Amino acid sequence: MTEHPEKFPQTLAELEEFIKKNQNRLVRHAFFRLGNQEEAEDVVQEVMIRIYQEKESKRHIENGISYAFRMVFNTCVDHLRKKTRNNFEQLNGKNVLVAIDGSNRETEIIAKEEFHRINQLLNSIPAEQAEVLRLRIIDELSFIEIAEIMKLPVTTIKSRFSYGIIKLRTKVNHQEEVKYELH
Amino acid sequence: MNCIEVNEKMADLFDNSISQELKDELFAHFRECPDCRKLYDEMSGVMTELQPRVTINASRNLHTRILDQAIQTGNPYQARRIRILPMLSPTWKKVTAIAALLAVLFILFPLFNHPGWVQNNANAANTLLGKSITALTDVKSVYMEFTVRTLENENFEYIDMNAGFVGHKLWKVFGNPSKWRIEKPGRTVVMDGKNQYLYISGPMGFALIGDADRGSVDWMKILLDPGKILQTEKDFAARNEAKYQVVEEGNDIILTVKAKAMGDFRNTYALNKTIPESNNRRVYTFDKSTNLLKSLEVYIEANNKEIGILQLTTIKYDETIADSKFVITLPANVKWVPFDRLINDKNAGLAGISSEEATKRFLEAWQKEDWKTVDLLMPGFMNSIDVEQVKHEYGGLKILSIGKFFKSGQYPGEFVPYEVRLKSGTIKKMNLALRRDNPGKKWWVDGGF
Repeated sequence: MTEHPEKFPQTLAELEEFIKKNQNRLVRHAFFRLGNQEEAEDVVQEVMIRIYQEKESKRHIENGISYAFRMVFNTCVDHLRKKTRNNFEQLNGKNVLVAIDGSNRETEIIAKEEFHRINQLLNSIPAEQAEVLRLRIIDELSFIEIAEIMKLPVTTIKSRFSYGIIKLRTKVNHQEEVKYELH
Repeated sequence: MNCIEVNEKMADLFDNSISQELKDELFAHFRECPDCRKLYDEMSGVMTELQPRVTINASRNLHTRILDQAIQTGNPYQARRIRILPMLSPTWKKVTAIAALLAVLFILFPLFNHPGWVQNNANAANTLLGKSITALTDVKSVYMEFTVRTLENENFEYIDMNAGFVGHKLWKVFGNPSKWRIEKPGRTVVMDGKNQYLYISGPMGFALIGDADRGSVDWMKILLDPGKILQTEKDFAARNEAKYQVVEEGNDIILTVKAKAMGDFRNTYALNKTIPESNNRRVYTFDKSTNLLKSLEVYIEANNKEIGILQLTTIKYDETIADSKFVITLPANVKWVPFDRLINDKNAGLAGISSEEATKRFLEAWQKEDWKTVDLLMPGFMNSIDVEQVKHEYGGLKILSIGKFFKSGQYPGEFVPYEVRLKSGTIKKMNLALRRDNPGKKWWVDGGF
């Protein structure tokens, strides 16, 4: 989580510092939505350029990183909307994107397996709860930061988190039991 | 706290901002209540299950890609193109695109090659030249911030297209005498009207004092006289393989200089190591109403693409600059050493041998910890800020190989490749820079160690 709010970058040097400090978190955030490293980086690049272009009008924004997360999130949603028209499969009654890039590199395969594993769990609970869990667990944002990104009260974020995690409890515990039975 | 209250607060346990007091209270309850403890353990299990078991990081070059695009997007020519075209219908886009192409052919090609256009261009340049000199006569000071792709502690001229941006600051007070200061991390140079002072921090650093015209800031000196930029660039274009163009756009007058890399690049070692040693494009923007410089961007062309290498991010005129800006206060253990001790010392260097032999003797001196010879070949070594640390780190090194000398770029001396192993086990594979452009034709080490 961020130690203190970061101002919106106004110069190239500030932009560079901002990128270096936050690029891994933002790419991870985009990856676990898109399932593809290249697309995740494209989204982060697109967002960073927009941030730089809009620097004058966004000078007043005090928490630049929350704003960047929201932009990356929204841009991922746009990318998914475009892609789901062409390429999706049904899983547990929900649309789950399958990202295909033809790569066979081992790390990418592992990353994609993780993408599917986590999305399979999150797709079994209501989307608004899943979103809070993603931001807290995968993106390591605090409840206050999540509230700022989602423009909701912190109490709502906490209750969505609790409801989501409690719903998943049964599913995860069931998986654990199956594992033990197999041993 | 009862079970209902604990359940309400449970989420806080999964947030790093929870207070120690609340945490203690919740755990005290868990010790008494197995049901709540079980719920907490199960929630923790879900948290663990949702955590990615793989680390996703950005590619190493992502930040460079973004910054390159940010610089390109900040380019006034490109920004206008992006804004105009989407507003037009597809047919008009085609017409506009053809018209734009013709305009580019008419403007750029004749501008650089056709005598008539050169004349017009020269007229525009002369008008701007006259105006900008007049504008500057009223200016009392200038302050600039600019970023350069380079390495900290390297000299002011050095650039590295794969490096990040390093912030630089420049202050200048116009007057009789004028004073200025340029600084970047690890290096500061000040001209106080009489002398020039260069302070390089770090163990191998120096604090040097010399006459006012000493060229410690290399190419950057063009920024010290914003009113003479056009004249300097015109003179430069006349002397070298370079072309310049002056255009008016809205409230701006834009001077673009395109220059070819200067020097001998049969060996490409020095290619793209400085702006003059790169194929580069320098874009200066002047305010049309005040005729003052308002922005500068420098791009170099490498691997068939342009890379932003320098950008002026702030420029302010007539700010009050305290006189203390033109004084460098040294740490207690550092003393000013005359520049001449380094480069004009008659006792320094070795004559009558090749650069390779000089390299051999220099490295052998480090191997044998013969500090007198090290100081002979690297004048000023004994005046390094922390000479003992340098001796400790590099003394006793082992020579692994010394290669054949080569010349590259504009460097007046020769480079000799070498490979050494330090006592710490670190292997250094570098090129020693040696020069002998002195009256005694003696080789001495200028860099690369």
